[in-house]
Amino acid sequence: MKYKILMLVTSFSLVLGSCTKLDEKLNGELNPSESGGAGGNVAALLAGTYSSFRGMYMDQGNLVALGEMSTDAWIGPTRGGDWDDNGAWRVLHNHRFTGDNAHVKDVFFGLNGVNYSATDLLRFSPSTQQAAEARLLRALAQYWLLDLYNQVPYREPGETAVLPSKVRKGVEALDYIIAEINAIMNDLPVAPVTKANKNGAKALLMKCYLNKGAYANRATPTFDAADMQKVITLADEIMAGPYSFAVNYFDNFAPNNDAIGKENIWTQENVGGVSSGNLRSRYHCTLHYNNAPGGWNGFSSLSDFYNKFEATDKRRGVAYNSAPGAKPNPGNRVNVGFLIGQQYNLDTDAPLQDRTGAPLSFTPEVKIIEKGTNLEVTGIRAYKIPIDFTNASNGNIDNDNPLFRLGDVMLMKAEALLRTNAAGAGLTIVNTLRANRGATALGSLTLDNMYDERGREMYFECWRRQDMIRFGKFLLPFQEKAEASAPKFLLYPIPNGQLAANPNLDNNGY
Amino acid sequence: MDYFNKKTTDLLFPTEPIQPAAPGGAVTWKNLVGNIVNKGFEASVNAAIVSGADWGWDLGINATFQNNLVTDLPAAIPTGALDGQGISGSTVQVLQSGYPINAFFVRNFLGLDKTGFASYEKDGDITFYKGSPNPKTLLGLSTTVRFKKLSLTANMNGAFGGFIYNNTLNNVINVGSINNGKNIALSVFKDPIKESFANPVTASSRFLEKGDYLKMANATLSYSVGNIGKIFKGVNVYVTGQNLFVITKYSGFDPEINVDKNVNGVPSVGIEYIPYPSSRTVTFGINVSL
Repeated sequence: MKYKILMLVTSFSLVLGSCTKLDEKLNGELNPSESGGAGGNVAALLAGTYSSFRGMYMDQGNLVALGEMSTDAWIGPTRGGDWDDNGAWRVLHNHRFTGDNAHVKDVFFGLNGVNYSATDLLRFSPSTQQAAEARLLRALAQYWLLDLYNQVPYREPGETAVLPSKVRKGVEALDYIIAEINAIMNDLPVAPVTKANKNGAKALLMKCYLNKGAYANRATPTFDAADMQKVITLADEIMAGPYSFAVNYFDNFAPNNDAIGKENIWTQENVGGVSSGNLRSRYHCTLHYNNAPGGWNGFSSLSDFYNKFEATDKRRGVAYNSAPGAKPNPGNRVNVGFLIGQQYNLDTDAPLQDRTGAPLSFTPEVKIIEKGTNLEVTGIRAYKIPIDFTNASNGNIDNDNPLFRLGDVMLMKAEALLRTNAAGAGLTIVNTLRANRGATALGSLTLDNMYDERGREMYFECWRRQDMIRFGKFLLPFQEKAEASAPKFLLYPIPNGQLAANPNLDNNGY
Repeated sequence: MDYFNKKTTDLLFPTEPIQPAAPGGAVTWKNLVGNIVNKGFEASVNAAIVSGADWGWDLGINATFQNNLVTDLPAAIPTGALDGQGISGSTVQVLQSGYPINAFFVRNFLGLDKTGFASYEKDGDITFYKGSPNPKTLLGLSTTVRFKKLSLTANMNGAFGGFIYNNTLNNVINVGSINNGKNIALSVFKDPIKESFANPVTASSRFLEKGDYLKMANATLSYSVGNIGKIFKGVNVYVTGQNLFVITKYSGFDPEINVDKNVNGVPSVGIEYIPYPSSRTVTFGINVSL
């Protein structure tokens, strides 16, 4: 025998394991009673679904990032070394996002988490009302997936999550959501506003019908008279409910808004000091470090948007001193809404300074990349959640987060009237709302001032992008977005990893 | 001389949970839709240049020239998650059709402006393909020189044409670290423009470096004493050094080091982040047979 000994003194190899087709077989399954955890405890599963949905709406990212920062109302500038975050905020505003954007991915996963858990609990024999609540939460999650991505992946209760999910797209997805809401309508409770309820479902149906033409063609939406009539009818049904104007517009967002927010139709509940979503980050993200409470000196509104408000319009900002635990605010300074100019200590009325010692005076101008010596004070700061000072230290603020409000319903009805040649009736509604908000009456109702009115009433409630698309404004240049954007930006891209994993998804033209 | 053209299909690959899925779901292994093609050729030459009674010199050279390409993948798969304050969550590599595996997609760094801030193509909002971590050329050299009972064997290896992402420079010794009382790299604070301390820490092509190197992997000098008396036979005295030196322009620790920066189990290649440098060893020894 003769052996050849091959010595590879120096060897290099790029090993890419060669594989054969993987044939997956499950060798065993646990049934729900064996899997432990919350399996079968429907109340706990439903509470968990509500809770995870809170996270989608409340913090400074997620839905408010995709729904507001991509618009003319809200910007996340990079301030020197702060808030660069790989450009993830900037690209939302200037429409340069791609399928690897962190926020685009977070929202897709977060909404689908709700989509999944609201579906999964249906297999544990929920009560009729529990099933209806879960299905409305799922419908809302799927609605947002449709609105943002135009593609709604879905699973049946108990379906394995290992295989690619099926996907409904565009109008097909919308039709399914509408059918679901109608199917559960009679099983939903009338109250409380903090849970999935009948009028909340109707408000969501209004969104479906008002935007139906946009889902069929986002670039040039058309509005079917029958759909608009449905919007009007649903609005009338809701407005016959127990809602009235709050004393102050910001009562609807106040720490005790469960008691005084008379306009709220469906909210996400926060229990002060006990359990809250991260709603407080909505003011932390915009306030300066030297404001009280101290903020993170990040996001701003824009002067073009601010200038849409009249000086008398309470929605632009007020000295809101009636919240439980509110600071004395001796100078009666604006402390909710849009903050512009010199800022003051709300206990002593002493003027505040920034960290360089310069006056803390917010400027109307802001650039998407701030490098100057005044980079700490550029931009109008804005939030519409009156600060809960009582719970400032424990982090669990009491303000519930409104999902649907009377003002939104009134404006949707007015818009539906406007789009069906009944501008006069629409004008009456808009002026009723404006009178309450301290704004002067409009002489006539047009698409442009209807659009602006929605901006003034609904800012930072995640609907701005949808409104801009429906009114044909989204792709146009705005203050800090110099160029018109390509039509593909009407949709968010599907996150790359999901696109690679699920052949039923398509890339939305990216 | 060998030519190779290898197409890997159905690569078993970690896949993120397919939505809708329970939050925090696990990665599953699936066949990758898409192929990975490696082609190139290998050449080796071994020669006995001098082969005399007293003198001998053997030289072996082996070189591999390779090209790597991902094809037919429906969407880019990200990996190469960087670490550190300011860039957490940013990934710099993708598996994407039409590019080498683990292609570096990063912001295109254009230089520092007058204020000491970095400027990027398209404000850094868009990433560009800036290189592959996979070397185009692999080189191995081995040589033995013998003079009577003395012999010297040396092996060198090298790789050329690949890039390395220097996450350590990007994030540990960047200019902003001085605000926290830490050391910084001189390379980021030199004339003509000193980098601003407020310049955002950002992943970009600035930290992508050529990873070309030639390394003295090991060298052995031995002296064959022969038999000593009748008991000790074949006595051999030697000194061996490993990792003696590396010739490279790469500014980090070691161009051969690869720190795992996977995303959901998708492996990364060619990223350095505070690794242990490879050690240098010197061994003295005597071989004796009884």
